[in-house]
Amino acid sequence: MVVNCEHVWQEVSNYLEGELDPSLRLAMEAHFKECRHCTAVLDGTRNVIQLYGDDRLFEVPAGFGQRLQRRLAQQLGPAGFRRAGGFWMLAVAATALAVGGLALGNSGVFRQPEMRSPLARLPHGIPPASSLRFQMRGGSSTFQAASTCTSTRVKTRS
Amino acid sequence: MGSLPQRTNIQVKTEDAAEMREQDLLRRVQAGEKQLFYELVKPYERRVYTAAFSVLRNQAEAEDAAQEAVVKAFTHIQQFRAEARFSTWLIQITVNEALMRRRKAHSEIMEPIGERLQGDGNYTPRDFADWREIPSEVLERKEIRQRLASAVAALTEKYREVFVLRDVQQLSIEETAEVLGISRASVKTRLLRARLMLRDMLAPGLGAAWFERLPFEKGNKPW
Repeated sequence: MVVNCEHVWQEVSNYLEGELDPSLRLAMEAHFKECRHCTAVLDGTRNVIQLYGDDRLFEVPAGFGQRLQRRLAQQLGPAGFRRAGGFWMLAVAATALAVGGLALGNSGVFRQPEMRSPLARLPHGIPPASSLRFQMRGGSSTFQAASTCTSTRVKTRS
Repeated sequence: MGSLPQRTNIQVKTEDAAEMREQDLLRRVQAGEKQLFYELVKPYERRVYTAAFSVLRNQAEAEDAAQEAVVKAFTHIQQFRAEARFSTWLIQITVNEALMRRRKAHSEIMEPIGERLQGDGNYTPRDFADWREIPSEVLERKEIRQRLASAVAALTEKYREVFVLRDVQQLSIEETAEVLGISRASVKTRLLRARLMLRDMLAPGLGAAWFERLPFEKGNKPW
């Protein structure tokens, strides 16, 4: 049996699958020895199959497995969720949240920022007790100054 | 010369052990231990995602479809019969889910230009660039992975689906035919064309010349 290039191209995939009868297979092998173009087609096709068969080629999005597991846990319902380790996941999440919260609290993120201007700082030579005390002519009223907890009488025009 | 590499004895033994474990898990899940279902699908996560991605070509949509397919498999696990492999059944559900979503989204409007150019006649290779060796570390390089992914994404649906199921998912020709609901002969024809088209797209670049050129592009002088 003798095969030409076109015949080889139409059978190259079956050749690589090992799905040819022995006579055609032998004829193709004889052709490959003679034909540089068909050998290039064979080598390239084999490379395509090997490259795409490699697990590293297609990346699954990060966290895909966890999200799938959560989705299945929802299907299982509360009992299945417990058996699937849901309580453990919750416990770990709660601990992480608590530890994270403490760390955040200590980090100063929620601390009152220091005022930029030194003039704006309270103890600038003025005693706190007198800092809110002022008097106006006519009438008076009293209010509680939250910052110093000082009861201050303020006179206002009535 | 010759066909693709055969599996070694160690590979065969490992696969047998995995299959036995899968059979055991299947029995237990079908008997009511549904919390074990994730263990059953875990080895196929990547394949399920890739199957959905091959149809939808969008990461977020593929993940949604893959999740939905796994949930459907979970819901209908009692209907699974041992005549087929569990992985084939799972991939079939995934492909169906993805195809249904694609139909809903009318994404055929966005088909690659090649769809209209590829006739039904025999495919003739356009390029005869020599591409003998693949360095084993080639897939470590992101730009090459991207190039390969782009090439397969550029195939039209009917070729891409067959190629992904057979050559990426490693389903047999019979399983691929079953999943797509087409004949064995159609699978073989589409597979041949897909492989040759990919070779035409990749060989001129992925041959030795392209690998040698890359270091220059990255600014690493070989001297």
